[in-house]
Amino acid sequence: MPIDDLITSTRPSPFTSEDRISHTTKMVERTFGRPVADLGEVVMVDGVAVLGFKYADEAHTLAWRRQQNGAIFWYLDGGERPIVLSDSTRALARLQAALER
Amino acid sequence: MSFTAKPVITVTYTFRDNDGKESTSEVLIPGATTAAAAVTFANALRLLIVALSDAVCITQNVILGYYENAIPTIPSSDIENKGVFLFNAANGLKSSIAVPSILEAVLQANNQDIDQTNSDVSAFIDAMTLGLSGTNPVNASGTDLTSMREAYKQNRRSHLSGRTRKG
Repeated sequence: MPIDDLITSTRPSPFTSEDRISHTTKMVERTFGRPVADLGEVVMVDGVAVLGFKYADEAHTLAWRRQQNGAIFWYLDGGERPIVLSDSTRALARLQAALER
Repeated sequence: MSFTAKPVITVTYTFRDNDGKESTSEVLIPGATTAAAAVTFANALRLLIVALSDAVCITQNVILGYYENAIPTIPSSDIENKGVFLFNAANGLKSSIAVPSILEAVLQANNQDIDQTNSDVSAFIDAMTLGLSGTNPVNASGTDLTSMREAYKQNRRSHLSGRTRKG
């Protein structure tokens, strides 16, 4: 384990799971411009709050991470390929494109 | 060494006269007073003070102060090196906070921009834009801060505590 991760892992987070779920709920609602219940449900998966949703009868997860410059990238199903959803008018279309890739 | 509540709550009223000069009156109430009761008291007392003055009361503050009760040996630091965090609010306006003596460890390789993937930086930004303990910070008009605009180091002059710069 890199020492940065080791230091981080030994320091308690200021946020509870409820905080993390609240954060991701706000992030989803700001990104898509609609209530999270319209899309799915925010749940904790491996200590990370993600949006769980169904598309074409398949279950998916969507997580977000902040980049070095502050941009928010989204990651589908635990993958490492970033998706940019920043414009709420196009976020659903961009998510659909990522799902069908 | 711990942050300790001050034994009093400070209520201030700032008045402005017709020349634009401003003056502040201060009243202390017991520190055990609840925040809600302190605000109720301040609102009521303001009416009594305003009745005694020709000037206009322009602001009222209720301050629940805390202080470090045993300041430790201060490590090498420079509060003029600020970490400036500029946020977007939901109403399209901006709001900023400057963190004094920003750690070099949280800067990017250019020694100017703040690395927003750093875990401590990220936690601070999450608290400011997504909330902490159920409260989301707002800008001066009371609108939620929603995202980061910029985060960078900037040198700004400050005053020396307890003595002049010549001191």
